[in-house]
Amino acid sequence: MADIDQEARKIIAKISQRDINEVTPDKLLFEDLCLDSLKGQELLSRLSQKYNIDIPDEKLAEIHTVNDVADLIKSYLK
Amino acid sequence: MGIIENCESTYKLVEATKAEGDYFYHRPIYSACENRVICEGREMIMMASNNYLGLATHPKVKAAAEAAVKKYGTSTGGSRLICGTTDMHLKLEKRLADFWKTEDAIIFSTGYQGILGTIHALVGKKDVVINDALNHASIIDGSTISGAKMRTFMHNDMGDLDEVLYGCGKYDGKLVMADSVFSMDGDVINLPEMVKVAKKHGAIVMIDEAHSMGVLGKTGRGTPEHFGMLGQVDLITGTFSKFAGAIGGFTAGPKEVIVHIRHTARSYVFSAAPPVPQVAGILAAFDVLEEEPERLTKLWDNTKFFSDEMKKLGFDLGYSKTPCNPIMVRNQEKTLIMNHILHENGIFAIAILFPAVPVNETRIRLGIMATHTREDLEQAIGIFKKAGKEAGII
Repeated sequence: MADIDQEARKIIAKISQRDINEVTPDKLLFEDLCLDSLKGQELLSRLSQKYNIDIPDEKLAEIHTVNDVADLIKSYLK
Repeated sequence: MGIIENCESTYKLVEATKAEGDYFYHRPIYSACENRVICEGREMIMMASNNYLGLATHPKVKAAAEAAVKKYGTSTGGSRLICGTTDMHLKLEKRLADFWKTEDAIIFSTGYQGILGTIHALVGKKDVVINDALNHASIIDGSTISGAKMRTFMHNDMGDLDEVLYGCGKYDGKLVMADSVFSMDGDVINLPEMVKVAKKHGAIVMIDEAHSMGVLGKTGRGTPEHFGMLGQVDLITGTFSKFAGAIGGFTAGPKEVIVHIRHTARSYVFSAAPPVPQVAGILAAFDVLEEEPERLTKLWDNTKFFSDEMKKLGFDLGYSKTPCNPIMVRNQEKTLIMNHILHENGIFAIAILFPAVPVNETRIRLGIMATHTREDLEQAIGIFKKAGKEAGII
């Protein structure tokens, strides 16, 4: 599960074009890391691709922090 | 928030910005859009226009438009399908297809409509559109209304495009799209690699030549010519509002695709036809592009001179390699201050602010033109130096 936290941070860092060290678990995706709705959708697509799951775009409304993203993936892999 | 309350919120924001003296949008110009314009009762150096070759006021272009007004009037009074197709529209479409070495081409009333209509006509719910992260808003909007799944690859990163395409196997059709020259940054798409990666995954490639047509390539045939790939790109779209100094959009490609777009693109079917004087002006612009190659040479000489001098002063021009030049400020407040000083000192430029770009990417975006004289550019550089120092940028 620790790998999932790290992988989520890695993907968020890539999409937000931030250094991975800036992408800490409590960071807000939209306010702190400047993601917009398009980047948010791309985040979900990349997570779906990486873990071979299907996360619908509606889930975007449920994730606010980096930690939420990791929790979302974990909920699909249970 | 209700509809009217939402509008009031925008209205208040605009009025507050105006009261601060920081509202530089919609500035009325009382002259032709040349190297110098009349604005607020004084002459200003135009540094915000994409009239790169200066053809909007070329005598041959104006004469062609005037002659068309005399022969055809100002409008056809109908869409292309109904009564809006003239011999001039067909002539321009043939000229475009020859220019891009494609089988056919279609013109639209605006560039935005062209891209919107083309994407909407080509893909749907079972397909996927893969966009460069910095693609123009028209491509994003077209992708959105098409109903196709939208994916994004990191800006100009073809390794990432490859990775994204690996995950798109479940879709029927795959359309990869990118600006040829990016409108906010002025850098050039890696077209050879993009085409190679797309082909590997069975995807179609469409590029938007808005800022590169008439600018890149020995004869102005954009990135396909620049990379030696004329006739090798599936679909080419673009606008006449830059190189031709006009308005209108187009898509060029295989005849079956163009006929399909011609009958299914809603922005084409339900729009009035481009006015013939515009079409005539664009045709004349193509003639000038061929007859006066020195304009292209001058454009690049001006671009090199301006970029080199600005860099010597310590300005950050981002990744630009073209006449579309951003002055990166990377701070919303300083960008506004800079824009204000430029305006006061006779430079017509425009600040690009959040949310159009991220807060750490704010900039002043400039357009260098073939019609700028060395005196224009030297004077502008002097004003930029003063503004840059006063705003604390250099």
